[in-house]
Amino acid sequence: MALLEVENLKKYFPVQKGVLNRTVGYVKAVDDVSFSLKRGETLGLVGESGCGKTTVGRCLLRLIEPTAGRVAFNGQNLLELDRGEMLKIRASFQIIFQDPFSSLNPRMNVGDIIAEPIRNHLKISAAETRQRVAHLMHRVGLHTATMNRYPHEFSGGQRQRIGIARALALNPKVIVCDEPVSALDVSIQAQVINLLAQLQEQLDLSYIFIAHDLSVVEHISDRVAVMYLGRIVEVATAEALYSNPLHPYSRALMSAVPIPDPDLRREKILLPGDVPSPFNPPPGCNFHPRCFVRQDRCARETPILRDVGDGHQVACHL
Amino acid sequence: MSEETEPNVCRPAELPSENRWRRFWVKLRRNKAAVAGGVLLLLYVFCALLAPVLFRGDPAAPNLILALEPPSFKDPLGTDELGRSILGRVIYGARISLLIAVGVIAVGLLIGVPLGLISGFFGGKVDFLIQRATDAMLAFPGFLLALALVSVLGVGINNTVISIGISMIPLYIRLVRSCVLTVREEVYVEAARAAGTRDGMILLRHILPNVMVPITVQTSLGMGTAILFAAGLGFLGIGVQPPTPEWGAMLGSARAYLFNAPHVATFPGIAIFLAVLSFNLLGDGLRDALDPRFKI
Repeated sequence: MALLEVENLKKYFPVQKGVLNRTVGYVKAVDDVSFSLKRGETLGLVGESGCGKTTVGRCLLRLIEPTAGRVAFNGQNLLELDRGEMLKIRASFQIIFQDPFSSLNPRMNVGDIIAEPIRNHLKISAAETRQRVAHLMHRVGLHTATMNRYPHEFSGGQRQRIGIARALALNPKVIVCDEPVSALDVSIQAQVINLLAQLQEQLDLSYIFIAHDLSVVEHISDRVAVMYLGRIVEVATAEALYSNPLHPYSRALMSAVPIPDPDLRREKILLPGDVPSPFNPPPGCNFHPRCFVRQDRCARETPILRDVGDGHQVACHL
Repeated sequence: MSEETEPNVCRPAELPSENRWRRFWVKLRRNKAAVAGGVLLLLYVFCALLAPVLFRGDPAAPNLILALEPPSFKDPLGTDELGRSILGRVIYGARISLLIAVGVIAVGLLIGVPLGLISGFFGGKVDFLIQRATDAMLAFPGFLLALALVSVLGVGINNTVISIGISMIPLYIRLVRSCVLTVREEVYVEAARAAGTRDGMILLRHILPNVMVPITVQTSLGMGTAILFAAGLGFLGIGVQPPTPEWGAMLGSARAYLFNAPHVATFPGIAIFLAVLSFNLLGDGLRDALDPRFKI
């Protein structure tokens, strides 16, 4: 059984206007997203800005309350839990944030930041807590002597390590990595990615790895889901997706991955137009206005995610 | 595992840890106006604490034979209409004024800050209620509100403190709420939620420390205002009552002798002016020194 099963997750943000705050419509940030995550697996979630990847991540932890759907963790639907139960379950469900500068409280020292989840969930003595924090800091490659320092004294990569240590503090099973390296230098990115991979191996973690950097996702993910305008358009193993993308959007996306060889030229697929507004998405397949292989039915029928063999799923009529 | 992580070990940041307070202190000291304000304020505190040492005798005991004497060697600032030393009364007045300022700020902080925190953090109906009540209070000019409250509560030091304190509450509510609205959207607040921190602790450990800077500045500026308001009430005769040496009340009773003995009104006036000035200068300095955007 999958460790995490997400079915028909939806998040509609109401759009309100006027003095009476009348709801005039909804922004469908996440629309009918389903996927599963196996133990020890990394699921990459890619897509351009505003496609709803971050909202999916927040909805899983209920940092944003989803509109509808089911998030089953070990068979238990998280969306039905009350506040207290949810607080408990967050111990095994953690998140690493994108921006290591704003995700650490500037007025708390590093030891307190990492100890916060421990203090919230476990009733252990101050000395034990300190010991655990020291162990965590060592594990993510930080000097334990820096425990009493404040976040502004650390570099971006070091801050992200602090964030990772905080996420690891309660021995979670699943970590949502929300663009954990996109705010870092390329050289630091590699270090942090390697650290994440190494921790996964040691601690039997499962990751949902949200990113827009396709090379990074390919490197770390077992399977990758491609999102467009709030929907998943394709799910496949990293190799299958990168070598043989099926959905036209994925094909366009993959053709944009730079190849580290100036002599090699690849035919780039340029998509016309812009991403439509999620407030008023096009009918049918919401990619059809920009699609280069569209047919008449694309404007009428919404394609559903179907299996085309080997767990390769794609939402396209063709 | 230690061998594996060793190449990954990050050295502590290159620069030695610069103490936040040290930096604040250096910045504050470079601001000449703030230093002047601070020194002046220290002088007032000094007078307030050591009043019985600096001035021997009772500042409230009349001696009609010496009434309205101009400044002399014996009474450096002259005497008032009842023959009391103005120097002694100004020195003792510092006690009253600082006491009122501290009391007023305590009332404003203790009630205004929690309400502002709750209003900004929880939003919704609670926020609406608190904000409409604040609107109602802010509809009156601050001094008028204090005046109205004093007329209900009656005169005296305690009532002066309470009424000016209440008139300060809406300022704190608004200030704190607006800061909370920004801070609560910070990612570290979301991170605290993900870590399982409850709302109360988020407010206390994450939000309050990050709104302390504007509160500190407002406190310094507010003390100046409190002294001014208290003097105003005293001047009108509905604040601190004679014979208690209060600067505003001294001004009020000196009004009748403004032409034949101007020194009686001048010195308490200067005392009020300098006290308010010192708080304002210090408040401005604090604001600059606590703002990380201003470099040393």
